[in-house]
Amino acid sequence: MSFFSASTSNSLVNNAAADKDIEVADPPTDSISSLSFSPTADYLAVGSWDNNVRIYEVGANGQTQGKAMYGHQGPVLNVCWNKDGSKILSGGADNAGRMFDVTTGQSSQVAQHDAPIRVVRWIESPQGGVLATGSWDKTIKYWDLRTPNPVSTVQLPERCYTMDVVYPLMVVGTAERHILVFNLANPTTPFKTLVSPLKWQTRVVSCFPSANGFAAGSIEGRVAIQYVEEKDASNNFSFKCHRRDQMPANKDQSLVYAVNDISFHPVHGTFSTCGSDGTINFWDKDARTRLKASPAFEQAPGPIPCTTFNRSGTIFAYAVSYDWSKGHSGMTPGHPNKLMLHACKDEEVKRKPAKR
Amino acid sequence: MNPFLRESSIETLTRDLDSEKPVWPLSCFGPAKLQPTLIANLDESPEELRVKAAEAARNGTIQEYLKYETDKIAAAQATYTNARSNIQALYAHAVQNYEAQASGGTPTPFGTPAPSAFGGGGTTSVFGAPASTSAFGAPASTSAFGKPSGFGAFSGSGPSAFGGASTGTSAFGQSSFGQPSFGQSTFGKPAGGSAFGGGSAFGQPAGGATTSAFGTPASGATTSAFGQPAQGTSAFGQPAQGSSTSAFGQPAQGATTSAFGQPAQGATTSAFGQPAQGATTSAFGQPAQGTATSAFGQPASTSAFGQSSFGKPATGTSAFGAPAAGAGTSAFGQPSQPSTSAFGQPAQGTTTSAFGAPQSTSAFGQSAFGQSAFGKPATPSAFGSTPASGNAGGSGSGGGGGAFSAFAGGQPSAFGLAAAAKAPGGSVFGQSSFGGGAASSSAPAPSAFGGSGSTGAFGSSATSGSVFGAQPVAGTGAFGAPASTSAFGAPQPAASSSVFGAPAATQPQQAPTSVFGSLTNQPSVTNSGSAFGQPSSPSAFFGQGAQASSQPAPKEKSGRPDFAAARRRALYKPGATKYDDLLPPNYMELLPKAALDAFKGEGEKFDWGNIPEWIPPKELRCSVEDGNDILTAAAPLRKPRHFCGSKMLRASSPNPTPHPDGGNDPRVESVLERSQTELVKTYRPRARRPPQLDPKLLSSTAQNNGTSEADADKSTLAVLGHNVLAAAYTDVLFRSATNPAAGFPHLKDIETKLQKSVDGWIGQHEWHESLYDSIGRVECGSLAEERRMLFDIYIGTLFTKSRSSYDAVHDWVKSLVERGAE
Repeated sequence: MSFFSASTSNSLVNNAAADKDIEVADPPTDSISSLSFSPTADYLAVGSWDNNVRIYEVGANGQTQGKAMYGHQGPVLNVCWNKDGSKILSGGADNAGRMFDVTTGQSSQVAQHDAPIRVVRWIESPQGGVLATGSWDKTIKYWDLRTPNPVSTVQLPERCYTMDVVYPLMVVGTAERHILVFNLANPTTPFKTLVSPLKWQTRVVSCFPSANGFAAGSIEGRVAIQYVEEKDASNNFSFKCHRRDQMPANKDQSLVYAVNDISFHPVHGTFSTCGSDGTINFWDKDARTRLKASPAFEQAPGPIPCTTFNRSGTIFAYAVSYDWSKGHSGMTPGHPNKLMLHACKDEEVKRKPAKR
Repeated sequence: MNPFLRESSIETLTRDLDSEKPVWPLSCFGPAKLQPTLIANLDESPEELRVKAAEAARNGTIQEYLKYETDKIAAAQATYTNARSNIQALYAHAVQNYEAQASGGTPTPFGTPAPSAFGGGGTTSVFGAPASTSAFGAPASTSAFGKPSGFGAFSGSGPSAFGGASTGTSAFGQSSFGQPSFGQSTFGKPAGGSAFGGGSAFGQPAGGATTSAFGTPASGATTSAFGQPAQGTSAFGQPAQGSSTSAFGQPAQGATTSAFGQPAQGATTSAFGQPAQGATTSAFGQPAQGTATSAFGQPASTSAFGQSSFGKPATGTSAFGAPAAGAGTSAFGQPSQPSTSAFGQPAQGTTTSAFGAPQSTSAFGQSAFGQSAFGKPATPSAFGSTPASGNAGGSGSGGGGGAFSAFAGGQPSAFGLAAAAKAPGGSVFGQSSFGGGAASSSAPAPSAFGGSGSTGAFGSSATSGSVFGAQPVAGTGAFGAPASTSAFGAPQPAASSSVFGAPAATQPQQAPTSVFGSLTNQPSVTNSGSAFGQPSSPSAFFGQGAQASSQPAPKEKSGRPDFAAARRRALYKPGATKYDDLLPPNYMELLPKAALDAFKGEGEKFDWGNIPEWIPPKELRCSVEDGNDILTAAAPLRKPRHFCGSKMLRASSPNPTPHPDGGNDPRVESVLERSQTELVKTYRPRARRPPQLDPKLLSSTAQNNGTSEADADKSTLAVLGHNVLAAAYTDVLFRSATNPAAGFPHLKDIETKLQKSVDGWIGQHEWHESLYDSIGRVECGSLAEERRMLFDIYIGTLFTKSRSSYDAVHDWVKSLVERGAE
């Protein structure tokens, strides 16, 4: 089921490289910060440090075409779609949240914070759609997109670093290891606050599709699986990933990279992790295993800042961009900046049936 | 059973901070899952930095960003280094946090349980503000500093507890402490009950003489580090009128009381007022990251501390806890585990300071702290008010400096460093104080540094100037030694366990002499394992062998790996393995040229950077039959290891025959061969002339007069030749020195002589005339230089043609040396 055509390779040895991932042409001109597929079509919204959001259409064979682009006044930090795929929402370092109307091709400002907006999420509640924006100004604000004022504001203990929503669950990760869990039936008060199940800076949280828990990734090359309800607490666990032995001979000293993103497969409930080490892995949290048939992702030539699945889970998009993991000095001129598409095979993302 | 204890231990903490420390430096840290953050206020995500960088780029202030980044990272690293070196206290604090959380258990909506900063129970005030119990000078039980997590224990105190980078003025000194704002018992006031000022230099804990002010677990629980125990007046705040509210432990809402009694405006960001952060971590240094925040004084505008009290003028950074760029560890932090601290020591001290400071003087004596740093000279300095004899920081005392460095852990002295790096104006602890003292490293005998002789290890390396202050950031050489070759720090990886820090830490108090002192006393330091770390390479003796005598000098046995022999042992037997047949028949053609060339190369080993990643073709392996031939041919070949991997070689080796017309010319080949045999004949055993080469050969390689390519070749060859000669010199000299330890100045002599005799030789044999024909003139300043250059080119050419020519050169140089010695 070769989804994409195999790219050609005339290397002497490496002739087994079939099904290479496709590199999207005309990628952003600066690092990619965020990826999001439309929930209704294979449109991929891409936020970048070059201040723009680009929308690509991904064809059946993996060919891509740029469809639209709009800008912020500063780097774009996060993008998402609304439920019907008609709007793209984005937040940026310009402290603004913007909405792009796919049908009209117009963008407008819909949210405002006192500090950069780190993350935007669309909440589709029974009462209607609401945009949630999390910012380094230590608030989350809810917007109905019609008025310039937020519907509501939630004070956070610290700067918002990450947030994810699978209605009715919303999880927010902030600086200093705070994690807030909201039941969106009551969106203004945390259902629960906890100290991170990880030891170091929280990098990403991602809700289970089943909305009963979340995965958290940190800079310490570790992912925690955390259930919301106490009764499930026994299922909580964490595991290491995205680490590398510094020297093959010395297992004690490892390079511990940040987990940059966690994406759940929309169908199978497995998930991917990606890191500053330039690797991607697929995992099954229930079997607590790495999916062995993980795609033969080669080590990317740079950090992987973000990943996402399309709505059906057949396409896995990831970026290879500098993620500032080594500070300014890592920002070298020739640093790769790529947007890649990977055709998911079932064995890569499907749970293994339980033995027995 | 305490579940925390089940999953966390000193070992796990150590691992977390050591081998499993994340690459991203700017992070807080919790000891275990769901546990309160133990080292707080460090979180800054890559994106946040990047946004700053982007803004800076837009505004053209990228340099400022870079400084910010550097400072933040350095501060964070220092914090963790410090935490790591106080792992016991860190762990103890973690346990306390856990217990506080478990018992106190009413977390506010957003808050983490906020264990008090310094280890008081969750409810006790730490630093004390108006609270009933003030940290400074508080009654024992709640003493901020006396507690296990004292000053330096974790948290930022590390970076520079005291050695901040105050840009212009020392927060502590200037306006802050002595300011009326504090009224009664401020820091610097002589007031009887003043915590700082009082009779106690820093650590003279009245009560438990043995306990260090900052950081040691206060054995004498009753003593507050920072303050005289007692006088009952609170250092920091009014005499406790207050009641239950603690500055420190305050939930951030901050509202009610500020750290030091001031209404904190920036309550939430006040170092001291922070909830989890200030709380879980030591108030004192934690936030001390970058410019913006300092432990003691948050950026002026927001810190309770900085604001009104401590840091008033502090330009964003206060002395206490300022950024301390590279500072590895806090001066204050270190000592906490052992029972002796720098600060504590002198108090009871008498003879022994960590470094054998001469007197019973407090390390903090006048000049050091008093003056520049902590207080205006006018008012009794906070720290130095009763400097016994004030000797410590004072000028001549090496010891004084030593005291400090003891704490600095492997890293450069916290004090000096930070100051040097940062403080442009009044150095807090830096130049003026310590550096100064150290600079005049006369090192009186008892001083650690002076050690036994005037040329103590330290003396020598320190000469350059201020030991402590001088050396800039670097983060290396404890005593200003050059980074990687620092005698002292050399083999030590990073900070954590420096020679200096370590011994100092474990130093039993009573030991009259410091580690250094004692060691330097023994002449034996010389050879065997040096206390200060073996020089990592023979040539790294304390920097070039400036010293006459007492350097450890590994005796060099020629340890050159014998590759030829290895090759002889492992010969290829065709057909011995079936895998050979798996190679394609036309494998030779498939191989990239570079790889093929590497295999064909005549050297006995590959050059660094050019090791082919291909299976060696069968055709090019030495089999048993022809192996002998090859070996006999290869045996005399020796590649000087000095050149393997050198840039030079890499640059030239890909095309060892840069001029194919000549290189492939059979005539030239035969000439080459002949000249080599001649060389060997002529220059062994005692050659008076340099290796000979037929001018024709040169013409084939270096001629091409006039083209720039040829010139480039010439200069390349000249550099190569020069280095070959240098290698030969080194080699010869090293071997000829019967006792390298004693003989370096001597060798230097020889080398100079040798240079001369080579020059003389070149001038006197007018062989270079013939080279004009083949090489052409070389543009040079003088005739001598031109000759020299020609000679270098000549040697270089020789070397590219045949590596064995190195031997000839070597022998020739040797002969010159021997002749010179006669």
